This record gives sequence, C-alpha cells and structure tokens, in this order.
Amino acid sequence: MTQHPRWRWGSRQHATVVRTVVLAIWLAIVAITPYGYYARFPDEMSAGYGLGRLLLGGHPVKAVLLSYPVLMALKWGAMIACVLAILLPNRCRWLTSVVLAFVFVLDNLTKSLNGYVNHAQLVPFFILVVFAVFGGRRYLPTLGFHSDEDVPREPVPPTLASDATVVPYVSVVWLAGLMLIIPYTFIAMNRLLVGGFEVFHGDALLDYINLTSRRYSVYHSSVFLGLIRIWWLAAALKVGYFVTTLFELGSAGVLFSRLYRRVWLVVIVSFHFVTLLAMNIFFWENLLLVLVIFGWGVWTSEGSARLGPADEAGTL
Amino acid sequence: MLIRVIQFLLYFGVALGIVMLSGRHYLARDRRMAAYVGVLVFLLAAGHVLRSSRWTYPFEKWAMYGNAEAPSVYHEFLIRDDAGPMRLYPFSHVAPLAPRAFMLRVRQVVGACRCSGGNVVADAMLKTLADIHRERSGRVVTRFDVYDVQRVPGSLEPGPRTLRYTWRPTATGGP
Repeated sequence: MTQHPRWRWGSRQHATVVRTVVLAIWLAIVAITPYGYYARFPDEMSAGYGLGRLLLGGHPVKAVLLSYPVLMALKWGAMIACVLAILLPNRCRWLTSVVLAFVFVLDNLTKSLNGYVNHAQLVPFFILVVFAVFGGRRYLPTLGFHSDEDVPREPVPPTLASDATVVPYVSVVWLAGLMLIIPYTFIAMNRLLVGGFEVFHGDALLDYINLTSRRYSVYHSSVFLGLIRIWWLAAALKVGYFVTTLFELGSAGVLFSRLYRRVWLVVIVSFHFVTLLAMNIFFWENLLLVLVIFGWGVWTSEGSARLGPADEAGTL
Repeated sequence: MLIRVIQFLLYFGVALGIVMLSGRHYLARDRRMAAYVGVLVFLLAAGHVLRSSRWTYPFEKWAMYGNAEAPSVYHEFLIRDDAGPMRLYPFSHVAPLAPRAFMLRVRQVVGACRCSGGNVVADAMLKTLADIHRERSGRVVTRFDVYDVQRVPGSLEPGPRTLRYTWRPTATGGP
C-alpha cells in the first residue's frame, strides 16, 4: 500500500485542514460567547490582562469597546471574517490577520471579566497567530483539499516559485504542532517540579475531582464523586494521572515516531475525556487540534515515522 | 530571583531543545521563521515562570492541577428563583466557555468590598446577573448569595459554608 500524498503529514491538504479547523474553532467560540452582556456589567468589573491592559487601560477606550454596538460589530465582524477566510483560503490571505485582530480584542474583553486566564483558548490563539504570520503564498503557496493535479494554476511571482529558503506547508504545520507540544511539556514539567511525587501519591487528585465536581459547571458531571470513594479506582486514577503526565512530558516524541504518536494520541484523547467526566473540564479546542495536527495520516503504515523533511522530500 | 532565572533557563532550554531537534532543518535557511520561533519560545518560557498573568498574557504559567495541595476553599453562587430551595446560578448564560473563570471574578469583586451586602459595584454586578437569568429563563431572582465553602482535609464531604455576600432586589432597583 502506498500512502496518498494528501495524507502525508504536512501536505498541502493537511495545512489547509489545520488552518480551517483553527478558524472554525474561533468561529464557534465567538458565536457561542454572549458578548452583548459585557456592556451591562459595571465598569469596575473588567480588568485587562497583559497586552489587554493597553486596550482597557484608558477609560474612554474601555467604555467604547464595552458598549453594545461595538461589541456586536466586533462579534459579527469576527464571524464574517472567519467564514470568508475559511471559504476563500487563496483569494483573501489577509483575512486571517483580520480574524486575528478581531479575536485578540474579543478574547481580551472576555478575559477582562475573568478571575484568571482560562488556558483553553491559548493554544488556538497561538495557532491562529502562526497562520496569520505565515499564511502567505511563500509558506502556503496554494491552499485546498483537492489533489495536486486539480490545483488551478495561479500566477505566482517567480521570486516565490523559486524561493528555496522556506519549506512550504510542512514548516507551518510543524510550527502549529509546537504550539501544542510546548504547553503540554511545560504542564508536565511544572507538575513534576512543583507537585513532585506527592501530587500523584497523595490525595491531591481526589481533592481536585471533589472540588470540580461540586462547583458549578456547564457539563454537570458528578459521576466521579462516587467513584473516587472506591479505593482501587482511586488508586487507578492516580496511576493514570502519573502516566498521562509522563506522556505530556514526552509530547515531543510525536514528531519522531509514528508508533509513539499513535499511543500518545490514545493517552491524550482519553485524558481529555476523563477530565471531562471527572473534573468537568473539557478542552475541546485542544482536543480537535491534537486530532487534526497529530492524527493526520497516523493510521498509514509505510514511509518515514519522523515528521519532517523526510516527508517533505516525498520519501513517504 | 535566582530560582526564577534557573527555572526560566530550564523551561527555555527544553523548549529550544524540542525546536532544534525537530525543526532545525526548517529554521536553518529561514531567518524569519527562526526569529519568530526564538522570540516565541523565549516569551513562552518567561511567561511560564513569571507567574503574573495580569502582565504576561497571552504568555501564561502552564500549571494546571500541579500542586500537591488542592485549594482549601471553593465558592458557591446560590440563587432563589422559585418556591424551591436555593440553587447554583447557571453561569453558562454569561460565560459558556469559561464559567469558573467568570465565577472567580464575581467572587473577587464581592471580596473587594469587604462587606456582606450593600456595595454599589457588587450589587450592580449581581443585579445584572439576575436580569440576565430572568431574560434567559423567565424566572425572577429574589435572592443571590455568595458562599465560601471550606474543604475538610481527608474528607470528600463539603465543610462549613460561610455567607460572604447577599443581594436582594430592592423596590426600585430589583429585576
């Protein structure tokens, strides 16, 4: 069996799918979030984070941004830009940057009403930045899902066609993948360095499950409140927590071994569903991106296991 | 300070190692991408060790559930909107993607007044939440309480609850 080029990791189709999924994620986030309500809360409730402090630091700017008409304009502007960027990937490359600008402002407004920064939107944000910065024809010459023969010939400036300084498609997908790998690695390192052995051996995990099951949540799952009272299941959860942390620590391995990538996907996807049921935490954005970035072509058995220039050279 | 520097070097070194091992062939000739990745890795590592998201966002500390001690207190936001017992306010109306982060902000605003009721900002915030609940569910909130619930070490049952703030609609300002 020969692997079809479109299922090659870092192919044109793969880059197109990753870009489409991250734009669709932001379209869903913006569509779901009721930004209009932000205008009704007292001014003192909102406080910017990081770069958002520049946006929300001055009272007049803050008052304008948190007014209902502006919030609605930002929301609909972001959604329209997302849809157009998905539907017209080649004609309007600049739309990805427009989406990023809208998303940056809207996400900052959301965060300003939060007591801490929810990490669920960070990875999609960084991947959107990747496609805004490296979304031009130099890195992604032609976007689309069809096979190479069906790609319409578009006039490409000779300087781009002969540009040997970049590796198109795969380098952008690799960079997007890094936006997942580095956070997972940092989470595991922090857990091992700060929590140490005690975080796995002690009752911290059970306490976290207890707390997150009792607090209000969108998902309303409290099934693990009863399950953690069963000693062997509690012990199995602790072991699973340790194993998952090791796989998070070794996330970079997915770039080097197809077999490891398969096992890693099973562990990480299972982990996200267990945290949904046990702790009412569901990073659906990360889950989608993990599947689309590292699940691409993972079922094929031939060719190089390493994701990188070997694939790019067509040796798969 | 020295510990922070060592931590930064550790995280930066690991991230840079991942980059160099997996992608040096992309970056060797592409200065633009190399510069981007270099700055990004530096900021990701710096944001991770600085622990001040108010200043470093979107470069954050990635520290989910890494402490060996879970928080000793959690917060409950209870409303009465019918004849039955009080129940949890459905924050999905307002913050469907990050209700807990929004709930903590509500608790911070309530806590900032160091009072148990009658604060202008906290009342305006809770009245807005009550109004939104009425619009979404058709039910009128007649009481909104914010509680701190203690966690009892070694027990999976909730500990003592302390009322931190209470709001009721007034004749002129109620929903």
